[in-house]
Amino acid sequence: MNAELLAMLGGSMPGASSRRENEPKTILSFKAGKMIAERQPSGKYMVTPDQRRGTLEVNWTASSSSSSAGVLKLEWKDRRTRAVVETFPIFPEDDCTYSKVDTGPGREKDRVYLLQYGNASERRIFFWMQEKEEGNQDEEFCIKINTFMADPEEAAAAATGKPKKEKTESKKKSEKSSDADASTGQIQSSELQAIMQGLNTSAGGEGNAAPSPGQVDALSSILGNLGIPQNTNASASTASGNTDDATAPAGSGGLTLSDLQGAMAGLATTSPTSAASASIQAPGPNLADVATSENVIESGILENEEVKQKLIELLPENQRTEEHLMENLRSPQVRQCLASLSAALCDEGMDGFNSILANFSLRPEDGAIAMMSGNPIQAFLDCVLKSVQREKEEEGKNDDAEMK
Amino acid sequence: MSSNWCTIESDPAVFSSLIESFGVKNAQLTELYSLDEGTLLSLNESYGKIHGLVFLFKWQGNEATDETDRVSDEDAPEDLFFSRQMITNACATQALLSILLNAKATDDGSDEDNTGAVSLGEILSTLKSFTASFPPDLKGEAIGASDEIREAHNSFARKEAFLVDENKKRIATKDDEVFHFIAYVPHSNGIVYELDGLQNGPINVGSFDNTMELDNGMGDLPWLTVACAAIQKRIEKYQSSEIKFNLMALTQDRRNYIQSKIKAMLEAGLSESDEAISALNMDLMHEEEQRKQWEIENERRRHNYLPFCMELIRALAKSGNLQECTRKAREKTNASGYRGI
Repeated sequence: MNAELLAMLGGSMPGASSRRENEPKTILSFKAGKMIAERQPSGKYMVTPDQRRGTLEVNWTASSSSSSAGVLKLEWKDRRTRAVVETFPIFPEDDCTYSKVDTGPGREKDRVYLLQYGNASERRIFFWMQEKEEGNQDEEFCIKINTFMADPEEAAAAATGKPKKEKTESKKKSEKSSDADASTGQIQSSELQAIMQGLNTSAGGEGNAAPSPGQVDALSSILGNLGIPQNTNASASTASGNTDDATAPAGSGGLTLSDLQGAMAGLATTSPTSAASASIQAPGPNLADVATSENVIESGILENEEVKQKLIELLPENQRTEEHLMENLRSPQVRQCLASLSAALCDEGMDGFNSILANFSLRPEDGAIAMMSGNPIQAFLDCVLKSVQREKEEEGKNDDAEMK
Repeated sequence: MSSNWCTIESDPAVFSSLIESFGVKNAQLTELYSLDEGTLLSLNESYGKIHGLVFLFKWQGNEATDETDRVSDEDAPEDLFFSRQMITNACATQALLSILLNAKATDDGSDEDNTGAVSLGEILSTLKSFTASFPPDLKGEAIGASDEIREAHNSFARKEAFLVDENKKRIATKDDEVFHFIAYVPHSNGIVYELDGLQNGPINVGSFDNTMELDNGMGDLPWLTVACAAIQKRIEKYQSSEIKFNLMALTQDRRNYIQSKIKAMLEAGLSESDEAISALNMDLMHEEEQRKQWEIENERRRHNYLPFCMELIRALAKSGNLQECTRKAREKTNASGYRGI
């Protein structure tokens, strides 16, 4: 529910208004996937990765009134369809932060980032990195995004060179909010209150009623056209609290975006638990670390004659002895092969993964769960486990058949 | 010349086997861990004949600007074999050929006078005479066009190539390690030349006294000293950065050298049981052992381990140990910090 609303609110702005603005300029972009936060009956949120390959873009659209004013949007695009799936408008007063998520002990390899709206907002979006990190890339993106979000002038500077378009409609709009500060086009919170109240009434009161699509669109368009910093006050209260503030003077006790959202959808105030509950897994581990000679010895599989013989048969022609078996297990060549296998499984585009599975008669559906969590190596291991299980069952059946 | 040349591992076992696959006899590679006099003396002593040095270092794209002071020798002798490198991945083979085709060689494998001459074999002898009058770039083209040489080179290709789609191979960026090989050879005119396929011609790095006879024990020390001084200068240039480099010597096959020494001693009247001869026999045994080990390693390099690895993983799965091994692996990775795949 929460996710749907966020998506609707963040969704593409009504065509008319966006066309009036100047063209957006992408000032940062990298490959990332988004994540789905689902509210559980317990009230906690379960965060799972959306497996679609995507791009996170930071776009700056300057307003025609001033080159340093404009809208910053984070947009998530589906790389396959090339469509923008989600848009998050960000204003400095939102106090948004973009930071790395600690997904818990043993999960240091996760590259999960969180875009969190500040002021005790419920609004948060998780992303997971989809491109191989070069140097300190992740960290650098983090710094850049936070900079752009906090300081529109930085974003504007990053987008310099962009031509401006004079549009009469946008001029009209800034004239409309005449009691607003002309340079920033600020709307009084009282105006916003009034709009919201109107919407609220038609929604049939505060709280748990789902907003009708029409209302959300209206709100979306208001938010979209705002393109301005908002007065904010930390307040996670529900609608009733907001209506009390209606008569407060501008500049104090203003509305927060989260208040609006809360009013519209009656969002639960229970915060999702930390991403430690996330079901995503880090891709890995490297198979060369799984099948080390120590692990193999400890597992005792070499005490099984059949296993030993099978392995010996697969050694280089002149090394098919027990003695050479151990040397080979420890050899850099075996380690390299396992590492290459791991890399091929994780190779973007799935070709490596699919061809390996095909080559060894493994069924992709056996590893579907791990695949969806973004871990092709675990998926591969799951496929092997299932395949081996089936083999055992077959052998069991055959034994039974023979006994009869 | 669009046929593919693969990258190969730089290791004496690989290179020795590589040149053998070209048809070369009585030659091998050995690794040098230091440039000091002691090492050179020992090298001389152990191998008898050193044909050239191969210096391997990390190639910096902007090297060209540093090299303006190093003019290639326009007056380089006609009979000095120098070829321009035409193919990136072939640079190891290129360096080895630079030495082999300049080395004291025999065609028929005979070395009656125990000079340590290398036996080039048919492929390389033909290449040498065929390209004798070619300019450097044409010499390079000829090497690149040789099917036998390319096939031999590729048979030592790094095995991971097969798992990754050809088209998806990453293009080397400045952060990738691209290694470059340079050869140092002595010439009969008493000059040591640096042969770098990416330069326009051979580079004179110093002269040495080549009038010494083989028997006085100095052997190749004079020219080696000059070559090492040049290499030392290079190393110093890279001192500030974390440069990896390797140094190998292309020498006579040590087993042959030892055998010729034993033969000489027997002819001089020593008996088989003589201490000196026993010691040499021990050395010979040691060399043979090493060759056997090299062959095993090379066999592993050529082997496709994928079925073996799959069977290993299946066996772990079947015995119920896979989860445990995976858990241990994760722990290990986390303990040692992020390690990308």
